[in-house]
Amino acid sequence: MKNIKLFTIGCAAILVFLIVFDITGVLRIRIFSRTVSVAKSMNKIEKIIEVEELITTEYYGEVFTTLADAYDALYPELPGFYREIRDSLLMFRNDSSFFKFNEDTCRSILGNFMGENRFKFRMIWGLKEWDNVKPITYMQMKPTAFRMIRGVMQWKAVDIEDVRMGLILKGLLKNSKKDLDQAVYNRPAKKRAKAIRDHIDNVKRKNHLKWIARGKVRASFDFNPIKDSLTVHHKRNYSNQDTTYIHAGEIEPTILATINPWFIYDPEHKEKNQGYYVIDDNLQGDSGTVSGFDNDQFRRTQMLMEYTERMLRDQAIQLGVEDRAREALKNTLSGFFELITGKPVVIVTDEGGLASSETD
Amino acid sequence: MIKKQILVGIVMLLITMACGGRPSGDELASGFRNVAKLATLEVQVHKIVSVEKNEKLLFFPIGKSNRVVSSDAVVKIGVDLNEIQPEDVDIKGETITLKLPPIKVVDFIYPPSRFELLDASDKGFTHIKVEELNNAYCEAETDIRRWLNQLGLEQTAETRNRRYFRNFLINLGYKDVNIHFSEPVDKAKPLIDY
Repeated sequence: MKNIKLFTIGCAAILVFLIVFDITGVLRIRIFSRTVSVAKSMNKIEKIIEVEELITTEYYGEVFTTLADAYDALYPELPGFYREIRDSLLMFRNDSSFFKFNEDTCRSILGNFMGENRFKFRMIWGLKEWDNVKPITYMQMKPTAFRMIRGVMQWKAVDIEDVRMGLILKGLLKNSKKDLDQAVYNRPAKKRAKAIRDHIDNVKRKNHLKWIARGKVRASFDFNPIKDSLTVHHKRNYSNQDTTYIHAGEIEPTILATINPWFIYDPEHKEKNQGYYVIDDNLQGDSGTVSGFDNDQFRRTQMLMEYTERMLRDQAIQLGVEDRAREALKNTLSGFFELITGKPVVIVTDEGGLASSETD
Repeated sequence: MIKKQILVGIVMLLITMACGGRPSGDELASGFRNVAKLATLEVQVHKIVSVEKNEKLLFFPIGKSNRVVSSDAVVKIGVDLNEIQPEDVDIKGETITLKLPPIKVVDFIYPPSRFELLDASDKGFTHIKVEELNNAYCEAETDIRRWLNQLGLEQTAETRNRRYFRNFLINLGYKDVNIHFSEPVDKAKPLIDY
């Protein structure tokens, strides 16, 4: 009896062990199983446009960023938050369209400067909601815009209600009184910055996201103005050789940092790795979410992604990507023109208003 | 004593088997590369990425989570000017014959930082992790890159480049301009850049 009991317990223990670990893979039973599936979807071409862009330099880099770092980047910007809104409105004060006060003026006043500060607004106010919004009517916009302009003309501080309306216009907040944290909303203006900072600290304590991101920073030039500004003259150089000098005018590269899902670092051999290698992640979606697209986890991930791209871009700029790009442009253009003209070519650019040397 | 050592060894083996792999840092090279990629066509592609996660306790579902994300990719198509060799250019007086390298993808921009969340739901204790969502983005990127080759965009790009270089060379003083393109290395995948 005792032996039978021991035998049964032993078999049960082995069975539980096999199920839990499933070493052999024969049983194919999992206590906890999870499957992640990605649905097949169509790719749709939105538009095809003709461009003229010359990419001369690429920088492949890697950065380690955390959500706490992204939030810390907000702190220097908080004191100037309200002042920036007022300064942005000031530029419209002398605008001739100011007294027309039509729908376009309202949208310009409230919408355009939000676009320039989009990153900052998303990082600060994106702590709560910033989902898609219902369109706001012109009649709703008008009093707010008028009040903001009047406040600017009288040198008053911008009211937080006006800021909220501006954010609604750009789709950064829902059109509802409950959008902002009431504790923040009801406080006096001078304590709001501290309240926001306390909120950020609380979020940092509860949410962790860390990753190593690998991406590419590219420096490119819009070739259309360069092409239009090209002027050619011929001269004999110090070796008495007929040389073509091509003036390319002022050249300023556009620096763009991109971190794709795949980081392809060797296209020839098809070598690739993940763009974001997650080290720590405890972000969770909201429980009891009312609207389907209101999701703290997604929002915070996007926020860190934008911050990471900014860090990668800064890294490349610090290493001199702009100067390298200009130098590479000169080499590319001189090499190409030498091929198609059959003569030595020197590219002269106008950097900062001073023409570079015309001798090679 | 021996039995304890064996037991420790088995436990260590199981722990090692449970650990995931890490990417090898030796394979990743960072730094600058000088390139000369002229992009003449930009294609904007829209794609919906839908991820679903299901968790079960034995055979009973205990949770479900999904995300639907709207994504946009920008693909730049053009030629690599560094691939033009001296023998590809033939100048006879006012006539020039130029053989351009094959059309290729010169830049592919698909940053998840610009994606928009369309829908999200978490039921039970299930949550889609950031890493799982990133894996879905990787699948979406691979799908877009493969799909580009089926569109016949290389012919549109060749027409565009032919017109572009012809105008450019005429402005430089040539009266007669002939533009040809080299054959792609892989005719089945003319536009894939990796």
